[in-house]
Amino acid sequence: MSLSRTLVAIPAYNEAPTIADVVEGVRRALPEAGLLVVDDGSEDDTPAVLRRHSVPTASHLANLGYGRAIQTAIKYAMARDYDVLITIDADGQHDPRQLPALLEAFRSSGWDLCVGSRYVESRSYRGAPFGRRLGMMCFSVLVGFITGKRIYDTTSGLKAIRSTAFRALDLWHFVDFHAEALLYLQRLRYEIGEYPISVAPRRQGDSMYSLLSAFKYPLKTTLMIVLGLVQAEIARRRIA
Amino acid sequence: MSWPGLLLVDLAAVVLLVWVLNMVRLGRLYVGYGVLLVIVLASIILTTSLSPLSAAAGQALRVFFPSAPVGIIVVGLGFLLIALVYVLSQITLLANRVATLVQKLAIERAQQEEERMQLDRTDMAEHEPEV
Repeated sequence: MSLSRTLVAIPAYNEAPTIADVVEGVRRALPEAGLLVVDDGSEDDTPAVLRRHSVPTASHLANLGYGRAIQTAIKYAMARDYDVLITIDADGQHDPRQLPALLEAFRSSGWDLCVGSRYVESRSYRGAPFGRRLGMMCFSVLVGFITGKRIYDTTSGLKAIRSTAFRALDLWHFVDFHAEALLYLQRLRYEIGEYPISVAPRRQGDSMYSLLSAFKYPLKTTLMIVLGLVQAEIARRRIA
Repeated sequence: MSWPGLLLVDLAAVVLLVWVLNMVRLGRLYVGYGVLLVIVLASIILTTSLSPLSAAAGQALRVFFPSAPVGIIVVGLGFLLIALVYVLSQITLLANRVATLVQKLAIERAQQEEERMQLDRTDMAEHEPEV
């Protein structure tokens, strides 16, 4: 698994204040890896910042949402025949210096997907707002209940994915690439692991989770979890 | 409403629910619309299954439409619901097509950009003065 066959994808929407630091951080941490920013129809200076830093950018002409941005990164990785896809948030909460260690753990473990997890060591959801903490805990318990293996940080944006797994993801549509996608992969017998990371508080911009999404997100994710399980079962039977 | 009528409504709601869930699974109906329709259909199934609720719903229909028979109103509302599901699935279809176009265009441009950057790097390396 060569580093030159690794793509680091950064989905970004209105992240002008932080995107340059993240891009430069990734370049310093993994200089040989490919880099792609998926600009999800930003309306601020993000495109101009990316041009100044000569970053290969897949620019969505309209805002399609986080899930579609990840899909674009997957399609790009497939088109360029990358072996590993790493996704990292553009808001600067993930320190790119953690990437080499995460990649090393991913390589040595043989996992198909590695989640950079805030909670795998502490196993406590302290620090997040109450609603989000409750949601994360519920979906983590649900994943553990269904598959027998608990994933503590289902909403983490920092993930490393092997090509076999991201090719499988391209065959199905997911909403936010969170619990529903992880469960879908687990049911297809892909190995998922967690690697402890630290996350800094958000410095600039707004979170993609609004008050409305506090109601919408659990309903949508629950429905997609159920349908993802059905879809995975159908796919497994077709393969068998 | 008579119990065969309620059973028919129940059955129609279950068929519609399975249709909606299958469309969401296949990506032909946006999951957000799917959630709303599942809530509506589950409420209909619950209402028709519990007699106090179905009696209250019948009363409410008679208040809003005093001169029309309840059966006709229910059939009309059912058609409206099916039409709504159809329209929402067509909106999803269009949205999916637009998203696919936007993604393909973005990937195409990013690949071209990446290739141009690689060429620039090669050119710079070739024209670098030897020390």
